[in-house]
Amino acid sequence: MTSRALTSHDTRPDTKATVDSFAITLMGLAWRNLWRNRRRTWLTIGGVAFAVWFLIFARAMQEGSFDVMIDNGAKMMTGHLQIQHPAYQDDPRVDNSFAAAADLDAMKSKPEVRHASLRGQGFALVSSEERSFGAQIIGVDFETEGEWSGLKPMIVEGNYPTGSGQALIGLTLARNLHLQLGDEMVILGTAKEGGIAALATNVVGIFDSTQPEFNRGLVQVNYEDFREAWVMEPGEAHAVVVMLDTASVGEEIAAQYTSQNAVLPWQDLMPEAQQMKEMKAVSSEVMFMVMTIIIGFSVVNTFMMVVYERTAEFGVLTAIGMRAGLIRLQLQLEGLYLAGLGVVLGFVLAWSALTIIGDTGVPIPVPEDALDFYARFNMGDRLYPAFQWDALYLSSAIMILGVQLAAYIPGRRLSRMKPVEALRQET
Amino acid sequence: MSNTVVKCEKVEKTYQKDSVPVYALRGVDFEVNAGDFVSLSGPSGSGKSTLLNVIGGLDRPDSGEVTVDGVALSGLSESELTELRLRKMGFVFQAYNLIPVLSAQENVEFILQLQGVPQAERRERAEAALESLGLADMSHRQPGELSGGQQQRVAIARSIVSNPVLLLADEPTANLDSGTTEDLLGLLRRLNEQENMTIVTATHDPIVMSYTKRQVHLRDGAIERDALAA
Repeated sequence: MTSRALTSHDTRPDTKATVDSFAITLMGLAWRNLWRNRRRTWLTIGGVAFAVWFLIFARAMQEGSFDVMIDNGAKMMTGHLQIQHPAYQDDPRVDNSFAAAADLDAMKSKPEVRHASLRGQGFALVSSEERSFGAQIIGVDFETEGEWSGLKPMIVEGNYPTGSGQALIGLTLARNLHLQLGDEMVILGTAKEGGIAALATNVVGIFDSTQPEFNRGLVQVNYEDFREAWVMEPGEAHAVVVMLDTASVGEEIAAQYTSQNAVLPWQDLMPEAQQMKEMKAVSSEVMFMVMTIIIGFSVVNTFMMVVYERTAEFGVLTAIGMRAGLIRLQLQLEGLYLAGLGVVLGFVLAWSALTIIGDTGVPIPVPEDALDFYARFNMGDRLYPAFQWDALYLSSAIMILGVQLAAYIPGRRLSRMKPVEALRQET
Repeated sequence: MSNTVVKCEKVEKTYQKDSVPVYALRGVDFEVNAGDFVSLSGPSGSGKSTLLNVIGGLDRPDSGEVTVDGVALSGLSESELTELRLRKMGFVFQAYNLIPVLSAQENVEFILQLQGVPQAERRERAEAALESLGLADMSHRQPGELSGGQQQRVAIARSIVSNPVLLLADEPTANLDSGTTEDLLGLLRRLNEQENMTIVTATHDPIVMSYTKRQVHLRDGAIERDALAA
């Protein structure tokens, strides 16, 4: 017998027409293989689902805690968003005020805006009969800010002011000035045009905040009182202060709103909060990644075991004429199904859990003797999770890539293995 | 045109076992002609399975040449060997080795699907193969729902459905009882006699040898006896 070279007759498929149908068969085969050991498959899917659930749920809780932190900061002072004179943020002088009525109306008309009001702001000397101290004076719309102000629940004496001639001051300042509720204090500052801003007002409330600088040097007076004392036009202000439905839309609204004035979301107003959020996010992401990878490894290990156990079967498939590439493709498909099912299940579980607790929040265990403290400092006793799509994308990517890798590694080994070696794995 | 289906020339194969060389094949010269029904027998370690694997392209010899249907295997890549097995060879294994998640008919069709045979044709051919082996009623059963003998019949149907030039069987009756063994061997003989199917089987079972036309006995990696059946 004379040997000859391999010809296309020896090796080529008869037709390309069935390539698609074979792909469908391969998908079906991969799907059926998945359920050969139902318990192990469900355990593996469960592992993937748990990792996805964990990442989504933990990120939602973390974001929820960020929201609480940002909301608390916004309520204490800045609001979620402010409109200011373009120069005021860097140079908060009294004369950097602006005609704010149009911006106020525009903000009030936005559906995402819960509250909006004007503020006048300046530094002044606050005097009682006996003493004088420097303080920041903020003229606020008591009626509007009373709806959301974080200082309100921190009042330890008296009430939140409601109108003209009334003031709210910090506890330390009240002590330093020897002021009691109902006492009159005199505020002297520099008016907008350089004259003297003079305002006599009565203390109706004293607050005790978490921040010593507020306690020591913050006074809130009626906005109209401030405006007249500082000789500003009606509708003129140093800031339009806005509270939104949620802090997360602040940047978007700031970007969308066109104004000749500066529109500053909370990220600009509280850069330290933004930095803290970013730092916590980075450290948490590292933690999440590590935990997900640990979970991922167990899933990957299980899947690799499944593949190794079937080495002999792959040897048979190669022996009867199935190319190694197709066997590897089948493995990748099995991995894709496995990870895909796990991701979907994990997402459904996380979404369900977040939906269930989304409205009611998760109770934060607070010692009974600390309840008053929590209430006064606006900390709340519940955490409200906030779903983050990036957590779904990240966990899905890690799990799908991890399981694909788990299929790829033994697949490569199979490719290099002689069929006879694979067949020997049977014994 | 030559009717030689398999030609082995000075085929040598050595394994390392605990760093000690084990000579599985020592310069084997061997030919199988079209229509042969050959048994490769011998004690454990004689080299019968190794020779079968080398002929099937499942293993490569250290030296020498194996030619199947005129194609020299030494020059082929693993991928080309796989394609050659798909086109020209059928395999029957001791442990049946059907794809457990596919029905009998799907197992048989699978080979044709790998070959790219259109759906209608492969269904027809698979049904015909199963029917010829008396499995028409069991075509939709999964391997786990079939007896050992029935599974081995499906394995034979899978191996012949593509009309290979060579059927290689490695201890095909080792897991079967004697009655089923006789049935199966009758089947292989019928395929050989009626379809002129060339069959090479490795076995240690005298019953199997008694069904073959030619008996090749190996010992220590060499052919000790090569004789036509009486």
